[in-house]
Amino acid sequence: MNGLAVACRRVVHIYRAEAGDVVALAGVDLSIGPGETLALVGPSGSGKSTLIALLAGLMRPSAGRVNIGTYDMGKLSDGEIARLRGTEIGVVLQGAARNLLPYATLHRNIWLAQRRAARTEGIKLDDPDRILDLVGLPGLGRARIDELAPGARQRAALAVGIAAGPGLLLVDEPTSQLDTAGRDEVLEALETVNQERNTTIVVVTHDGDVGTRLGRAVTIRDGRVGAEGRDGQDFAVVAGDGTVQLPPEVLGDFPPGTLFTVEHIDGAVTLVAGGSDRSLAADHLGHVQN
Amino acid sequence: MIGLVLSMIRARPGQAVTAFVLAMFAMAAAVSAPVYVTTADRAVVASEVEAAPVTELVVQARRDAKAGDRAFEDLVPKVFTFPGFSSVFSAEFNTYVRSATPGVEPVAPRMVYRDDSCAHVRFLEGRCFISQSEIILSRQSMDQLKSKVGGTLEVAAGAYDAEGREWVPIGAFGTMTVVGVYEPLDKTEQYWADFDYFNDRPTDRLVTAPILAGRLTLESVERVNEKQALDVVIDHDVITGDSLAAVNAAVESGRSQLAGLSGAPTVKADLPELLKRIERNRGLVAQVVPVAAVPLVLLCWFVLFIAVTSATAERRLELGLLALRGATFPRRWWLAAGESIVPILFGGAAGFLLGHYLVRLAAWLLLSTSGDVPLSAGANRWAVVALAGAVLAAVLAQRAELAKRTIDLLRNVPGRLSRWGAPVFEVAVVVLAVVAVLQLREGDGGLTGFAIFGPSLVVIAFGLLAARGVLPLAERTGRRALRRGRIGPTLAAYAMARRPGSQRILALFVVAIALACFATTAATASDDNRDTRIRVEQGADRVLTVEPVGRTQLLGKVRAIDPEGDFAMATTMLPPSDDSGVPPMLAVDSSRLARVALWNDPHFTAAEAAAALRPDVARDSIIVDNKDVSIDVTVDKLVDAFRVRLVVVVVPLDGSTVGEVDFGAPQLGRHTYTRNLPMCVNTCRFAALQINQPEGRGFDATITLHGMTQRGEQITDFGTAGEWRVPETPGPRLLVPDLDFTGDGLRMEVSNYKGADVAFRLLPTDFPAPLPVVMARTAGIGDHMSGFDLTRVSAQVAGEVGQVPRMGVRGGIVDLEYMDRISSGGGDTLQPQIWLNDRAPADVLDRVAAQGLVVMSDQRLGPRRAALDEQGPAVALRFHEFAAGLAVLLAGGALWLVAALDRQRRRGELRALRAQGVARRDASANGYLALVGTAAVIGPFAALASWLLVREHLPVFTDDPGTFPVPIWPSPLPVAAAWAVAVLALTGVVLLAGARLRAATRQR
Repeated sequence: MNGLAVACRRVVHIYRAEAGDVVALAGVDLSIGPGETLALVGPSGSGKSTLIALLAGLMRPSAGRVNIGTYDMGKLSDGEIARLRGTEIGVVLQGAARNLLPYATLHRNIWLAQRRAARTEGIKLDDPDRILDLVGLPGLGRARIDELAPGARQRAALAVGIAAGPGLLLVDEPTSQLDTAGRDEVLEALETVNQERNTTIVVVTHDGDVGTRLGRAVTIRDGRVGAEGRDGQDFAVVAGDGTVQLPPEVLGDFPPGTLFTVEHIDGAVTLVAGGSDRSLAADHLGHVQN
Repeated sequence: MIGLVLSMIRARPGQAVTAFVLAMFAMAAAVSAPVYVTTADRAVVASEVEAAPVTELVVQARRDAKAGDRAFEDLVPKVFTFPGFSSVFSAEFNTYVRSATPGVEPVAPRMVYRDDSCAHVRFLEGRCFISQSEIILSRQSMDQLKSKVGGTLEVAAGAYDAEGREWVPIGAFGTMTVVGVYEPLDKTEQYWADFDYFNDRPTDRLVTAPILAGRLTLESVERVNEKQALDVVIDHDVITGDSLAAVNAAVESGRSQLAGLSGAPTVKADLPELLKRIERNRGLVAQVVPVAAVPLVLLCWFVLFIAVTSATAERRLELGLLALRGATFPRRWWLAAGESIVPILFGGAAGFLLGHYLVRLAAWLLLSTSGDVPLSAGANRWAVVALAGAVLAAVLAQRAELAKRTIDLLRNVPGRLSRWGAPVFEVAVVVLAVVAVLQLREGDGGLTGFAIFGPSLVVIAFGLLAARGVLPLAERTGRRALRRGRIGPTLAAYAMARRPGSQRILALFVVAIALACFATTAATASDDNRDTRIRVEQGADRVLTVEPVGRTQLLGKVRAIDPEGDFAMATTMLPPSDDSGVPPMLAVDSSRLARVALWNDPHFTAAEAAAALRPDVARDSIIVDNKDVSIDVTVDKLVDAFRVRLVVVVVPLDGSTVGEVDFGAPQLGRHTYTRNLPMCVNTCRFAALQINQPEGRGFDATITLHGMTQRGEQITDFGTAGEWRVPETPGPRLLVPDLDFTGDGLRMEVSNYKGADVAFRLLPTDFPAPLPVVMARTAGIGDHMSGFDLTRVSAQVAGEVGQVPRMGVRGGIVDLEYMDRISSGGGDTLQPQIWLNDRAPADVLDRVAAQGLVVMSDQRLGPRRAALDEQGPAVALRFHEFAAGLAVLLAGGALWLVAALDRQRRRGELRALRAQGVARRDASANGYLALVGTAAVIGPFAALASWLLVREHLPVFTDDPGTFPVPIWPSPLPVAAAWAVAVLALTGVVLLAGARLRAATRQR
């Protein structure tokens, strides 16, 4: 199975509540290439989990479009989405235990996760032992979750997530509550899956190091893509509607309502704050490579 | 997949065990109903047969046939051939027997042939008859005839000459050889039927026991007619629930064939009455048991629903995970439901067996029967319904979680109550309850169709409505407690008001407590009803029915048994009056009524009744003995008084025949007429002085009575007004003289009489007139009744009660002594009884025997009461109590389960509360106690509502509602006890659950 591309276009999601609507995603634009690994980072409540739920088809966006591979998630029926989750989209929930049936062995958990794919033509499933090998749990097929160390549990959850051989693997906080060694084991397992299967992997994490290690880290802030880090370098991102979020450390200097002029100088874009007493130094200006 | 389901069950054995147990209960409850019906049916049939009077278990055919007509006995082998029927053919005629010993008075016993009679007698001497001329006699007959075994007797057919008042031979004499002297093995056994062969009372036959002989011997005696009889005894074991129809058909067939014979045979078979009663009782059981079983099964389903709902809610994340993995709906359904359905199926199988064994246990404990409990098609149908209902309840319980979005499952979003779902359900239940009650009240009064659900639907509707009304109150209470800073009550009230399923649990508690109260109310009312019934029907703690004796004799002997009047009372029925307006009347020795009889009317006590029945009278009875009695009489006028005789009527106090002593023809002028009274060896009561005129022409007379003496002592001077009277309503044979008390005596005058009467009669005023009676309020008697001699007696109702002992609502009582004084003639008592209270000494039977009274039956209150307890209503209601017990058990189980799941869910939050300094007691306040407390208040009202609505329309709480209506308010103690047990049981579970919850706050 080749990795699936992911494309989010101006994705908006609003939670309806009695106390008032809550905008969780306010226009997310995000493209992820097939076989790419990506970390979604950001503070709590920024919309990461909402975004991953939309990618998993667990919710429908209020507006915008989500494409997974060739599928427009907004146009699929619930049944089709369920089938997609059983075959092409793997999801690993936060907390390893939530991904595994406690009374079943790892073999049985993997087997259960493969059932939908097993009934789908053209899908060749890996043997559960092979999957366990892949995540670094060889020979533990008969083990139950309560017999595993925390790191191993998380990898077991990962094994269930990739059991059906998905093209897209969505992983929520795989390293939280793990020590460094455990975290490294999990990240190694993710890398192995990505390398061996070319699976597109999206990881939600609070851990910046995870983002760094995965190569691409997209920061979600206030329901939008706030920034993106690649290969150790951070970038602001121009959204589909032309908006750009300033980095938090810069934003502190510009209270809401601050006026800018945008100047295009020598192939670079320069923002010049308006007003006599609030002139900006050139090193504060954004810079965008075309 | 089944392996995965089994893994789930292994991982969560508690839930599986819960589903197993509940399904088992549901199945057991469902199966137990038809099995109980079948078992109770047997018990009821056996009980009814056991309690049936002998007359209902025999068929008696009688006819007077020409000698030589054998059609009757020829038919006998062809009818009543049903297994378990035993027929006894008999033939008899009167004989005239002369002894070979000179000087021995002839006797006139009956000569009797009865099938197999020698097997029913003991031979004191000799052997059974074999050849045509052989006979056997009783010891009394042998003594009377001064005969010996081997001796001969001259036997001819005999007849009673009414004119000569003696027995005479009516055919040629034949010589018979006495080959044996017998006595009956048991003269009361049914074999001897109702022929009264062994009554030792003196008669003019001189001997009473019959001559027993072979059929050919009877044939050899020259005679014109004989009495033929067939007595068919039906064995108790023959009548079972399955054989009723066949037995009835056999009896009916035999009856019709016998009735078709010549000689106008009378065929008496009361078996249909018994069968009718059995059918009614069986019907009651079959109707009533489902009334209890239905709510029990519904409750099981409901509890199962609650249990599975709670368990499924706990597995919400798991369901979400399955959905997340793209599992198809059938697979998700199976993985969700399998964990419940597998144990339900196993529980169903176990419950099927448990139901049978529970009923077997119940039968052993409650029905005095331990027979095999049968499997029946009815049980299978109920089992299928119960199992289907259990599975449906489980599936419905999971429906909400299965229908949820995956994201909601993963986020563990609790289910929201549908805005309309619950109210619609409650309204539906209320409507159904109303419909069921209306059908019950407006229908034919039977438990047909939907009416069967009436009692349980009322209770359930009440529970649901109460739960809906109470929870908002709890919310308000919680807010108020919060404002006052009372943490514990706040948490308890909020837990009660907001915990998912609180309303269901409260409704469940209300229903369980209400069912317990309802069942006990019904059972207690029925119990009270049976108490009343047995008290009324029996009349006293112990009743000895004795062989008929004279009424004066009965009165005297019973008074001799108990001179102080502490424990014994004589009673006898008055003969049925020719006037259909006169209800059946019982004569009692009312001086003992208050101490002996079981009285049932608090508004008119037995003492008041006794006083009313025995007012003071003008004079005591005149008692004379057998010595000469002299009557001083002046006859001033006698016109047309041809063959007129002066006659004294005396009633021997030993009960022997009333004596009419002829004092001779009255002569003009003053004369003293003297006679002895041979029948008064044991004293007599002077009953009347009559002037008889056998010609039936009537006469005029003027007679003055001056005095009566015995042994030189004056008995009466006839000089006191009011001490003497004439019959008020003389009837066709008596004329009425005018009475005039002169200074010289009592002057009686009849003048210008033209009628055809034959006597006039003077009576001592030793009884009240009109005679006071105490009647059942609904009986009605008018102004007269009939005496022992069937003459008209003026009566006055001195008091009315709801139910008269022994007479119920259909008769009344009168004083035996007064009625005896009124009635002339010394006929036997009808159904004479000695009523005894619980102070009767242990040797009372010896005392009775010492008085020469023969006890025919000895009925005690306890055994008769116990027999009633084995009849339909009692047996059926026992299942109600059994079901109510199970309902409380179920409610307790459900509470335990929900509390356990609640504990798992709340453990974290409780610890947080503790960490914030909330006292453990407050933190663990869970509101269940409040639920039980609320249900404890509401439950009895639900039961009361159901009871009041359906009470009189359920034809189940008494088998004779006309006579013994179901009391509205039964004895409160058993109901209160049942309520307390149910509430305490639930409270105990709550306290245990609370303790475990508190313990959970300590665990880390």
